[in-house]
Amino acid sequence: MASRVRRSPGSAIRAMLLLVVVSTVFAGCGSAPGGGRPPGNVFRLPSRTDMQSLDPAIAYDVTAWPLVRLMYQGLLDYGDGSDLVPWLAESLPTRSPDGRAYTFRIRRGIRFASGRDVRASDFAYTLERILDPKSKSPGEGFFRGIEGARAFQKAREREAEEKLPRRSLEPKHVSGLRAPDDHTFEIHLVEPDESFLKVMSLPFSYVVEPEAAERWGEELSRHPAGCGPFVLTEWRRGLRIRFDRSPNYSQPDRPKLDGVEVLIGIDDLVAQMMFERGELDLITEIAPPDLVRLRNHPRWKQCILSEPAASTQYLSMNTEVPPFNDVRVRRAVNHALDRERLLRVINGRGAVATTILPPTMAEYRPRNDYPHDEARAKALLAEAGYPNGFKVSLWVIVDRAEHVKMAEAIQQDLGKVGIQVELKTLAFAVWDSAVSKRKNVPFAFAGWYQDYPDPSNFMDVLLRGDRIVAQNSNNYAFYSNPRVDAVLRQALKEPVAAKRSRLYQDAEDLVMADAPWAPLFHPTTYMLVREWVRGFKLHSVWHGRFERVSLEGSR
Amino acid sequence: MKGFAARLLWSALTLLGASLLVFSLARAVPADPVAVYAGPQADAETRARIRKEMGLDDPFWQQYLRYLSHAAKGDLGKSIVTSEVVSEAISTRFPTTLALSVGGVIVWLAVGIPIGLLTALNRGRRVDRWALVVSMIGISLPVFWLGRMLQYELAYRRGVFPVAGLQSWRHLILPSLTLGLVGAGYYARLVHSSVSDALNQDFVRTARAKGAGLQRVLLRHALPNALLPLLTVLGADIAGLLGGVVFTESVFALPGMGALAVQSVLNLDVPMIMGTVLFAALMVVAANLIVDLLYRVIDPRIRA
Repeated sequence: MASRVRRSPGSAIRAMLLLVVVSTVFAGCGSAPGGGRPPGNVFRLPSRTDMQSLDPAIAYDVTAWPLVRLMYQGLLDYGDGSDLVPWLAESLPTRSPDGRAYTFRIRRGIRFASGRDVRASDFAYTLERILDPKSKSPGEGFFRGIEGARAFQKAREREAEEKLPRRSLEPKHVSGLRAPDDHTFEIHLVEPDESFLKVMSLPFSYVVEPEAAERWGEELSRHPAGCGPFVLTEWRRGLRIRFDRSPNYSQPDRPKLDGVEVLIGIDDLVAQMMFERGELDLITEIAPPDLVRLRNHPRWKQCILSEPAASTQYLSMNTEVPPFNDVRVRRAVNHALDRERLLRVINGRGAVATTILPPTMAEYRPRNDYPHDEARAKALLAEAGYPNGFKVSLWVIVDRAEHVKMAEAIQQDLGKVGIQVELKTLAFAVWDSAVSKRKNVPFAFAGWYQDYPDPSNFMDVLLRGDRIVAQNSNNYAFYSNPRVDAVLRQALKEPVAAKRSRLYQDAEDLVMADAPWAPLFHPTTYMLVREWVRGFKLHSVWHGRFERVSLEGSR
Repeated sequence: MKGFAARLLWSALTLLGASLLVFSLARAVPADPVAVYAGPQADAETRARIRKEMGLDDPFWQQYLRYLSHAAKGDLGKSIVTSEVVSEAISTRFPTTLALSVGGVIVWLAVGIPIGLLTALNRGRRVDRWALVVSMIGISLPVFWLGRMLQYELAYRRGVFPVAGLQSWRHLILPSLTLGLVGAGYYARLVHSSVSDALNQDFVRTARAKGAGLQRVLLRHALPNALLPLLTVLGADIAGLLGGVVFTESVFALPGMGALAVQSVLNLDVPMIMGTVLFAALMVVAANLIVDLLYRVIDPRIRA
């Protein structure tokens, strides 16, 4: 009896463990459920994190912008590609002969959600609001080239410092923003800027109702103040954002949806399950392992949409810090990378990058300055005084699964030429803070998605030496070449498209020769869209335009 | 009552210590909150102005004292990422965590106490051995694994429950089960050993000798004596739960304190991190005080 008692728990444990293992294995083998469409005419999509803000002056990321567009509209938009089209403007603006002024004619009969008509002065207010330091708009830098913008900002800053009443000092307004009548809006720039109309298509410039903006201040995000087809009706932080049709939407393209709902805090895995069960109509991120399964799945492969993203992911080498202050070392790193293999590591989710500009850009020109060549890499390292290589830390953002995965493969590639890489994975906020600080981080895995489809949004933002600041610099390589700066300044003013394109290519030639970056890949955007969703297309600038979507079919 | 006053004083000191520790840690992290505010286009001048406005140029102790004086008035500041008022963020997230915690505790007790009693009465028998094995498996399961498995099987494959989110009370069942099943095994063992001990006591033998029925002996004599250790553990566990059921909330996309804390840490949203940690500390301190009080009610010896 006693021996039986001793033996029994052992066999019971074995039996239970077997049960757990078997159930786990079988759970993994189950076929995915179809999941019918839930009732209602509401479009549901997930978001991993909550939105920072939905105020067009504040929101600055690819997740928030499609939602801002549900509620707000601007003077210009993009067609199906990256061609600018008039939106609230009657036509594209006329331009003064000196290229510094734009005149917009504003369409009639457009109303804010409150029912009040949109006037030209509202556009001037909107841009002034962005430039006003009080709004803390991350987009203010885009509009600083407007005549009188700096003087306006300095006056507001002085008022705040000296605790004077607001708008007590001159200039009270930005002199370059003028509204001679209700339907004419003029913008005067300090000097010609060929990218300015694309800047005007950014959601920062979407018109807000001044009365609402003044009334709600920082809380504007939660109140209707735009002239778009939807209004925000619920925002439960961390849980859900709900938009319903605006009762005062006055334009002919009325939305077909009753509402749009964003479910917050949904990670990729959960989003996938909810999508397959019909709890979501669309998902904007697909986890790397899922993509392989979905591509081979008879049902879900038809739901995959993909488009090359206007982005370049790269290794940034700090040109001010040894060993990367030697161009031979930077070239050696470029030669050491087997980019085709690196791309395979992330299931081929993109295209190999050998340029600064992504192929989505008209100014893109294919090139291959640094083919995979280990011998050449070793020779360059030896020439630079590192015959045995060196040790370096690569700073990687922890929640970018593709970066982490690819970084491990980069470690192997560089190891083959003697560069011993230690991976330092960090949360984005810590990574960004450290990498953007001068003489701080030698080697970082970075990436950039365009704000608007213009080469200046890559070259000027990321590689201009005269824009380097000691902290929070976007030029992570702290790359500075006065020749590049001069070419880029010239390109910004060049009105002839072909000449402008040539200038950017010249600048890219110079940058690639100096090799502050090792371009890695241009990612592809993948989304999953249920079969009952109509009118949704991936867009190279906006990713998704949900305002045009309708739901049909399986109700 | 003097002892209780001393406990209150210690609790206040604990909170103060926690606040100083978190404040120091938040300042030591190599990240710049100004970067969150200022966009990539902002120049050095703009950044310096924002830094000044946020009071980040002041000495450490001045920043800490300012934080404390505001916190004492219930003002925990605003999120530097979302501009949300921290106290409001906590008050909107707390009910979800509370509901989930209550659900979890109900499962703990509803499963744990009966199994504990059953096994105590059947010591050494087959049912006891099986319960031991199942309990040990329950205790050893990582909560995120169990959560994912239940979610996969019962929500994704069978569609019995919703996969994630919080649209109705049904969305809380799976998370509560996850949380509860992991803890239930522990409570079953706890009740088992406490009741077994009690059943071996002289007063139980006396009661039985005087002809008291098993049910009466169990419910009137053994169980009340077994409650004391249960209460101690429960107090500490509930405090831990309220502080943030991090994994369960993240598996089921529930907008509770745990999710808020994790997001704040990832964003390095210092005011929000401070707020959630202080609130969690407050919950732990409060739960311990309540357990102290309950002790005095249940066990007259402590009162004396």
